[in-house]
Amino acid sequence: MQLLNRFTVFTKRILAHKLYIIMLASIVLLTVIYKFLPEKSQSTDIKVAVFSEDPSDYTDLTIAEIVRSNSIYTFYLAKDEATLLRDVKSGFAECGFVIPNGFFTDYIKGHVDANPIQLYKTPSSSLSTAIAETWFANMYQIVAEDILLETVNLPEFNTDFIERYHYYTESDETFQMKNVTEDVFSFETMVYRITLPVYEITLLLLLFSGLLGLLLFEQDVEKRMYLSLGHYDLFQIKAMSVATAILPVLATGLVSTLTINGLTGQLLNLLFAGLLVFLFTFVLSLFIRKSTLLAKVLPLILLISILGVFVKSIM
Amino acid sequence: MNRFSQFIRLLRADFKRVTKYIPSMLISVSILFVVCACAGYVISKNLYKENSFSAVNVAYYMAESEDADMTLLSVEMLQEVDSVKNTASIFRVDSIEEGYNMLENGDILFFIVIPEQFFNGIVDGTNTPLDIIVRDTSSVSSYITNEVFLSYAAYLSIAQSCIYSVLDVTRANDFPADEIHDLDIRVNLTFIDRMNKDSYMDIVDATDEGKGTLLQHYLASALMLVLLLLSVVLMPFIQGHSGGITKLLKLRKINNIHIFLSNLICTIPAFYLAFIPCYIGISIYNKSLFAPGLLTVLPSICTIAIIVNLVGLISRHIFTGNMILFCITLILAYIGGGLLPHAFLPSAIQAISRVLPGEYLIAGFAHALFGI
Repeated sequence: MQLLNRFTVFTKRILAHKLYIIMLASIVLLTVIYKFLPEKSQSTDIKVAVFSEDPSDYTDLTIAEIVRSNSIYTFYLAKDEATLLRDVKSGFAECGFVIPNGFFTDYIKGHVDANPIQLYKTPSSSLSTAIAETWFANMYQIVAEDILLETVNLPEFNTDFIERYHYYTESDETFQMKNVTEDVFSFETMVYRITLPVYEITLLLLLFSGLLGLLLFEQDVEKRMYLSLGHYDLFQIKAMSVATAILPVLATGLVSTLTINGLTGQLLNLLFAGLLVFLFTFVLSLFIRKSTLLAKVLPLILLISILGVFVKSIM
Repeated sequence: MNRFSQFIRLLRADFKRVTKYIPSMLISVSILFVVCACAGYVISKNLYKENSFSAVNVAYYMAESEDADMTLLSVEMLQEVDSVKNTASIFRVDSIEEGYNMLENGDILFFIVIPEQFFNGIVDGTNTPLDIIVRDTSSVSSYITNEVFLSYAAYLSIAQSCIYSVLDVTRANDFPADEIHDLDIRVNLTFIDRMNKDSYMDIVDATDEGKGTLLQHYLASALMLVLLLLSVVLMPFIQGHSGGITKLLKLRKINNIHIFLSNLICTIPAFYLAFIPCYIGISIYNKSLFAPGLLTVLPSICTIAIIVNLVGLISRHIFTGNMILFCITLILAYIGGGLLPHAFLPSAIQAISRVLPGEYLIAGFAHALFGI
């Protein structure tokens, strides 16, 4: 009976804490947001960003040629270099080409290294060299006539050169390779929900609530509230203070995880995490016996935990 | 005594007080910075995961022929090209049957049969066709590899078209033989040169953040996190004037603004002192020391001191102050791109980051540490 009374009193006390209510509300709010966020759909095609500073229309012609050839890659024009860079960094685009002003003139004239295209890529862009091949092969095709006329430099025969060039590009007398794949590749459209780290946040709040419970207990001890109690009672109260701080967050977290993911292993993980936090708090209480010291250490423990969760999610 | 003298006395007393916090502050900074810098290092190395596209296996059979050496040389050159290396693993088989067996067993995706006189055919324009047998014509891998092969076929076809057109026009107009030969060589070399895309393209690492590398960015972010969270050590100092002392100070014409200013003036050197071991540690790691950084870091240090002192001023208890600052630190780090680079953040957050100090603090520390 005494145990139940203590449990009720401590639960009421922790639930009267504004910070604690905010914590519980944040889990509920995140769950509600997650459930009500509409699903998004996105094509899984391989996008390639292009930004051209060159005033000629060769860039547009190259992109049009790539589209005409049913390329597996979707080339698109970025509005500026910053957008291109952001798209490549965020993984929206596999890689990005920045074509400098005057590039095509230099390329036609063969000014090597004078004004190169910049291919932006990340370690994730493993197809960038293959994509560069597609870009250059199509660009080569677009500017071939100009390169030819520039190289032979016989303006009086320009019409003849172009006429013969077109004849050969469409004839079987030059090397031709047929497409061995089946028309346009159709990428699946991925339907997904925006992921919210509800589970990770619940884990962190579990840790925080356990430490908060310990902090409140230590403040009570410093106020000499439990002076007349023996070791066993003091131990029981400490356990009660920590447990009553952990339980509401754990219960809310379990309901939230159940709502979001259904019956998964994460529920057991949460229960295990609750137990682990309880034990950790108890071990910590052996070393930190002053509330002022705990108040100093608490943000550091939280920061290290956040970094740990963050690093784990990236690895 | 006038108000100014009282303020100076307060300042001297506060300076004495703050020195007591220095040992614990330096220990905390060292531990925190090691933890945050390690986390930053791991994140910067793992943020961009290597993509999972694996090269497809392509086998080729080459018939015995007088031009076999030249054909083999061409295949070997193709194998050395980056785009081919990244998408296809090309190897030779001894017979057509072996190639078909491998195709059936799923060991290869493409099987190419190179006919006799293939190389000579390209040179003289007969263009003996290749046979390409594909196991699966619908997978992404086959599309990607097919497109690389098509690109090379396009280079070859266009170069041939140009060379043949030059030969046709010059011969039709009775150009002298040596002039035709010169033009032929010139056009050949020109089109071979333009195929070499490496001369016309620079590869740039897009992972750089701001003006530095991703690692430099995360080390600067770690420094910002550490200095902001150093407040857990300094908060008792900032909130150290109890109600009684504040009343006494008020009697001596010292109000909360004076106390705030005195705290601020004392915490700036404390933060600066905390910056020094991080600066030395990073300089050793980086094997270069950016001396002007010792001065250019001051605006960032002052900003952090102002934030911490303002939080200390508005919060009544150490715990509340620490928790408020903890939340502010996380918000500044997240919005300022300290946890994830800007490109990963939603566009609304990217817009907000320009009006909050997080981004500028990270840039300031990056400049102080690395001169970027």
